[in-house]
Amino acid sequence: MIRKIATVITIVLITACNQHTVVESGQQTIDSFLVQTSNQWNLIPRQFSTAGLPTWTVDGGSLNSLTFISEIKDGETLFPNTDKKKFDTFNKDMLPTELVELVESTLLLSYNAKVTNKGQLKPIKIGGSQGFDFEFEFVGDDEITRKAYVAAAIKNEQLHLILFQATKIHYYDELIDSVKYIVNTATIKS
Amino acid sequence: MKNFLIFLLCSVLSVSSHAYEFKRLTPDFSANYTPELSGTEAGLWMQMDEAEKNIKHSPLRINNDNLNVYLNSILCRLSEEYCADFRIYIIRNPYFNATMAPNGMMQIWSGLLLRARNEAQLATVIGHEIGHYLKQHSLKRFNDINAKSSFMSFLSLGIAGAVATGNLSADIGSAASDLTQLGLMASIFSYSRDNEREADQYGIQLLENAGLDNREAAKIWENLIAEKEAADEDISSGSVFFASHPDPGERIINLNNHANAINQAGKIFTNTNSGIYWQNIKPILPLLYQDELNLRQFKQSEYVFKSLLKDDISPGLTHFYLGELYRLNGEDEQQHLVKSHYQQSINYPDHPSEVYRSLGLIEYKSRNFSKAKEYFTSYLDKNPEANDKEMIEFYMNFGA
Repeated sequence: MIRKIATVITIVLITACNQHTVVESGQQTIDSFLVQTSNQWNLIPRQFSTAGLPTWTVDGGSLNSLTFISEIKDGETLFPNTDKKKFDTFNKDMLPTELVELVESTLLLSYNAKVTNKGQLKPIKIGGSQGFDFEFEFVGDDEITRKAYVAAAIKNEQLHLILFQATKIHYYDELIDSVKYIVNTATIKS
Repeated sequence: MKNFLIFLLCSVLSVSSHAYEFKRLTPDFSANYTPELSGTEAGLWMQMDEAEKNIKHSPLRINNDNLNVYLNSILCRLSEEYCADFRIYIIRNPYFNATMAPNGMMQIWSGLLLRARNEAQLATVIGHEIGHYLKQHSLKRFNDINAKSSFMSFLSLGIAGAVATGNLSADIGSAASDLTQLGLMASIFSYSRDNEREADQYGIQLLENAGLDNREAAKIWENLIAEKEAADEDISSGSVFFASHPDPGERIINLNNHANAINQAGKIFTNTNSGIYWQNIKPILPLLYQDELNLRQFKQSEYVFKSLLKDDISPGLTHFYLGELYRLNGEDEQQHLVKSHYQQSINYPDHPSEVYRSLGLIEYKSRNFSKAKEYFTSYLDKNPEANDKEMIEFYMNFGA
């Protein structure tokens, strides 16, 4: 009997750990970001999220995901616990053109992917901080074409970045306006 | 040290090579062959036909029409009779490899195109893959594995994997992790190595049909060894994949012996067709360079880029990507090389417009804003639809 109860408790705990948590529309704080959302998202459990970083999704992580990367310091990789010998590292003097390479190379090496198309790189403001955004398309081992939208800024010599990835077919176009609303309303805490 | 050993072995074997007579191989079946519907082979073909449907539409396929026509022309010159039985697909994969499926579907990885120095070297690899097909190695290996065990896939019949440290080795490596299977694995790999030797022999035999210099065959392996050594790596170590292939040093010896025996018995061809090779590769060369850089294996890439520069292949483009390599590598002692290669790049007519952006960024970061503005203006003049136009204009307005 005790064994059965223990089994049930274990299953409940494991299931609870693996559940996505609803992120209601409205104001949200994620590490260094304070953002407004126009629709409901779901927080992916860290063990399944992009590099263990805070990541939201609407339809499931493999279809669309929105990752918040905060407070990357000089000499650190974009994703935590990655090999500094292999992965590019952030430098506080990097220009947006170089930060694009940092993001792209991190994704390409992480997913064994190739960039198949590049979009616009533009200056933008994120909560009063000078930043930039850009888009690109990439194909990984599953041979599905995905699009990424990245908005980032350097504040207090640290990189803060929002990374949206979704399948090129359907999901990118469906959610990009919601993502840009989040970026436009975002502020970076000091 | 490795080069010395190869030299020593070559010296010893060259003494005995006078007695070596090249035995010509013949195909296991005639052209336009299709397997009987009821057999194992038909099942393999069906699976490969399904895989081929996906490869045809893969976003990683390189669909450059001229290049595809050119590779097909090499294939058909090597084996005119069987030409219609093959389809070539060029795949964006920056490692050195090529594969042949039992239904005649051949994949050429883009990393091979960057590493072959001329048509004769590429034809050596294509001929090797044709050899696998004509001797039905996929089917034989499948049957062999089935006879011993059904635990391992038969599919990885690439010639090389010479620098392939990716998925193939990982797959086979995971199969090898079960210690009880290691004895069986050794037996299977041994069978596979014989296939590879036979395919090497067939490949060099086919070079004659295309009138290409068979002395180039061994050079592709010499270059791969040198590339690995440039990165302080041993080509044979660290990958279970190599267990299925003969040691590159042995391949060099065998290929040179085959070439010597063929040439002593008949006409020596001296065509390497380097010019026409690079004429066809150049349209995709920026893509090949960028994919190579994205591997972040700087020492190996430096060797490859410098080799191309030495052969005077697209010097403007190659100097630019060497500059990019040193910039991305970020080693302090190499930083003077960054600007130097960019500046050498613009001395050649084939330099890419991006070199002006790169020079502009160097000047911008050094706060030489007027010089930066000059370079940025040149970049946008040459590339008015640049996807980073707004960002470059931002640099020009805020500082430069």
